[in-house]
This record gives sequence, structure tokens and C-alpha cells, in this order.
Amino acid sequence: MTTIITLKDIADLIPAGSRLICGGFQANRAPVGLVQALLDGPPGQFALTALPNPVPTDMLLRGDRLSLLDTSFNGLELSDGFHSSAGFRHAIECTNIGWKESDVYEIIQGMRAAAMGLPFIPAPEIAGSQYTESQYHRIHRVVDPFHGGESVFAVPPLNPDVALLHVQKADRNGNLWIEDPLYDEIILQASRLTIVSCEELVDSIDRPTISGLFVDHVLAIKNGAAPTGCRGYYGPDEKRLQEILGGTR
Amino acid sequence: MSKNYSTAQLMTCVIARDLSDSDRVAFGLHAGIGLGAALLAQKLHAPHLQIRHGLHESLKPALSPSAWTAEKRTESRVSYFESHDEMLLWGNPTGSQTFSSVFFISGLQIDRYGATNLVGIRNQASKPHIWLVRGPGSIGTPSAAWFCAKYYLFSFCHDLRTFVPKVDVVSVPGTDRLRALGYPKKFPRLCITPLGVFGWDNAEGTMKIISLHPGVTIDEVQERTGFELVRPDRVRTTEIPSSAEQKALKEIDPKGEIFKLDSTMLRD
Repeated sequence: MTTIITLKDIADLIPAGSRLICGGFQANRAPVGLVQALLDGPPGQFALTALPNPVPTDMLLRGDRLSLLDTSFNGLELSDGFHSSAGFRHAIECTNIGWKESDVYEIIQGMRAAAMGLPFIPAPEIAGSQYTESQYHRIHRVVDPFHGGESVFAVPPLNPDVALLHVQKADRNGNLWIEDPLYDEIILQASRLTIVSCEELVDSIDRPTISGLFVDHVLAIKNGAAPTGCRGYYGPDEKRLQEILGGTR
Repeated sequence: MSKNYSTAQLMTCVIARDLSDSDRVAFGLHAGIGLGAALLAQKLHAPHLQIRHGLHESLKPALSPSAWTAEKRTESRVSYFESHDEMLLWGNPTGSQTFSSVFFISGLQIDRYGATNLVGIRNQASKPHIWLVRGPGSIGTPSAAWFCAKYYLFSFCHDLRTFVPKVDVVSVPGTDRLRALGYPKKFPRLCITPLGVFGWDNAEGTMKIISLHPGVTIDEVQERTGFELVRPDRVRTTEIPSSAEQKALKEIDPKGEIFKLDSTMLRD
């Protein structure tokens, strides 16, 4: 059953060492308020699996709260061009942070496998890419039992401990209304604990985008995605995003 | 004689001319040139061309409504935003549906074999694992190059740092690795840069000049490329945007937003 919480509860719900995943994509609906609440809590480091979502990644890196980053892409396209993430670059270039890297669809498929309870799942073909080798290695070839011994790539399940998501509306049962669905459903289904913030907490959502069955905790955080945008409420604050990322173009 | 077109517009026209009516064009981040080319092709010769996975929600170009797909003609912004995992639902070429047949890929480095690198440039003076420049990561380009029937490489920089003999890290494999894997016919469709148009459809499987843009010489392009380019017997000059193309470009992007996004590194 979904419970309604406050910002003060966030840090207690997420023990150090947890593997996190954040909703949002590029300059849209990053769960900035939730991540800030985590940063405001007691010290401790986490692992982060990151889809192309540079703002929460950079926040956690700059706060020195990541021991492991599992990523596919870090950088932001704004109206004046592409901005790399200075926090990400510094972490990889100058520190000993643990990191793994893959094609983004390996991560998506890994979460799909986790959501479905599968021991592994075929993944998109990436033959020839260096992501199949050495330190990048997550993907394996397995024999296709149905098509004459051909092999396909496969990935293991990827079970984040905690999913952090920001949406437009939620109701008291955890049902969510999302105007611009991204991969929200997959990250909620794959994760062991799900925390969702919303611009508006309403009494009831009749036709939810995502059922409250997948939501453990919900809370209202107005402007909870700022300075990224939240479609239907506010757009991204590009100036502030550039300051946060502080990267070069 | 001064040009009445920009280099970015010329590059866009090159791609647009190569697109066909049955294409389903997807484009990702920082690939507005792909959007421009798809819109241009739709307007001029490929009315049934489909455009997928806009991802322009995070950007603010105000494209002309008439330029967009039929479903979105009333939108004042390009806001066709698709779930990031949508590509997988029907991305596999052997699936019943086809997400896209065309994609656009770039890199910090592109090598003679058409491999790309979005991971990073190593500090060659130090240990191999030290990065001189850590790149953003390959996102979905390794798999997109396999999903799609054809993919174009593009770069707004044509210099020795970008066009290298061999990339430091392989995001998308080039003909050397692809041939070793048993795919001799798989390679980028074209590579478009501010200097010219290049391809890999040759016996060597290395980057070959297809055409050079007006005013660009073979010596210039070779000086700015870190490996020997394959040269045709006769080097063509890239056709400049026609009056029809220029008119269409103004219609699809009246404020010059698409080309401004990608072409900040160009000096016209």
C-alpha cells in the first residue's frame, strides 16, 4: 500500500550502499527535489544506474555520494548546443570512482529482465562495439536455442534498490498521471523500493498512467524537477542547468 | 561570390537528397541536422517519409507547423516525445514493425574505418586508462547502428583531432571489425562534414572522398584528416542547395533554429 511521506523521510528510507535509479530524461522531469533531500541527509555513498539523465547524476557526483556509476550517457542538449557534464568528467578523469558503461538499451533490457523476474534477457545487437569487452563488460553472447545455434547478446537483470521519480500528478493511492511518459514504468517495476514526488497530490486519478501498485511512497514537491522541466507545469531553466553542469561545449 | 546558404544547410541538403520516401528516420540528441534533412526530404521528394523519436522536448526551436508530420501540424513546437525504451519495442530489424530505418551518429572521433568514439580520448602520454577527455558516452548508438538499415555519420568538425587513424574506444564499429565479424557489406551510408561527403563503399573499406564542398581542395581536406583518404579518379563538387531546397529550408525552419543548434562550431 502506498504511503504518503515528507522530504524528511527520504534519507531514512534509503540506506547507504543502495543502488539508485532516477526517472527523467535530459532536461525533463529529473527528481531533483528527491535527490536534494538525499544529499541533505546523513553522509553515505550510493551506486547509481543512470540513463541519459545528467542532472541527478551530477548532483550526486558533486556531493561525493557515489561509489559506483553505471551509465550510458552524460551531457545535456540545450538550445545553444550540447553541454558535457563537468561533474561526470571530473569524476571519471580525476577520481577513482567505480564506473561501468554500456549501450543505453542494455540498461533498459536489464531492468526489463528484473521487472519480469527473468535470469537474463536478449539485448540489442552491438557486435563490434567495445562495450562487449573488458571493463565495459556486462553483455554476454548466449546460444539461441530456437534458431539453429545462432547466438544473441544477453544481459542479466538489473534491480535497482530504489527508484526516484518525479511526475505531474499522483493520488493518495500512489496512482500516477504522467503527461510525457518516458521509461517510468520500467524503472518502477524493476526497483525494490519506489519513491515518487509530484507537482500535485490529488484525491483520485481515474485513469492513471501508472498504477499505484508500483509506488511505495509518494509526496508532493512543487517544482520538484526544477531546474529541469516538468511538462505542463514549467519548462527547463537553461541558465541554471548550464550552471549546474558547468561543462564545456 | 558570397554564398546564400550556410555550411550546415548544405550538409542538411546532402543528407536529404539521400533519404527516400519509405524511410523511417529517427534522430537522437544533438542531431538536429537529421531532423532538418528529414523535414526537407518530406517536403521535396519523400512525402511519406516518417520521423520518429524527436526528443525535442528539451529544446526550444520554434519550427514552422507546416513542416512537421501530418499528426503534429497544429503544434507550434516540435514536441513529439517518445518513451526512451520505445525503440526496443520494435527496433529489431527482424521484428514485425520497424522503429526506424535511418539514424544519425557522430563522435568525438571517427576513424578511417568509420568507427565512432563517444566514450573518450585517452591520454596517450600516460597509462591507457587515463582520460584526456572523457566523452558523454555512446547512449544507444552501438545498437542503433545495428537496428537501422542505414546510418549516417556526421561531424561539424573536420580536423585531425576528430578524424583519426583509429578511435581510442569503439562505440560503433567500423569496417575493420565488421568485416572480421562477417559483415562485409555493413558500413556507414555516408559521412558528412563541413569539408565534404565521404563513404566506405570501396574495396579497402576505408574512408573515401565522394565529393568536396565548393571551395574545398583535396590538399585541404587531406591536411585536416589524420589518415590517407581514398580518392576517386575524379573528385566531384558537392551540389549547392538548389532554389527549391533553399525555399523549403526557409519554410521548415523560418528562424534558423535547427541549424543554429548543430552548427555552433562552424564559421560561415
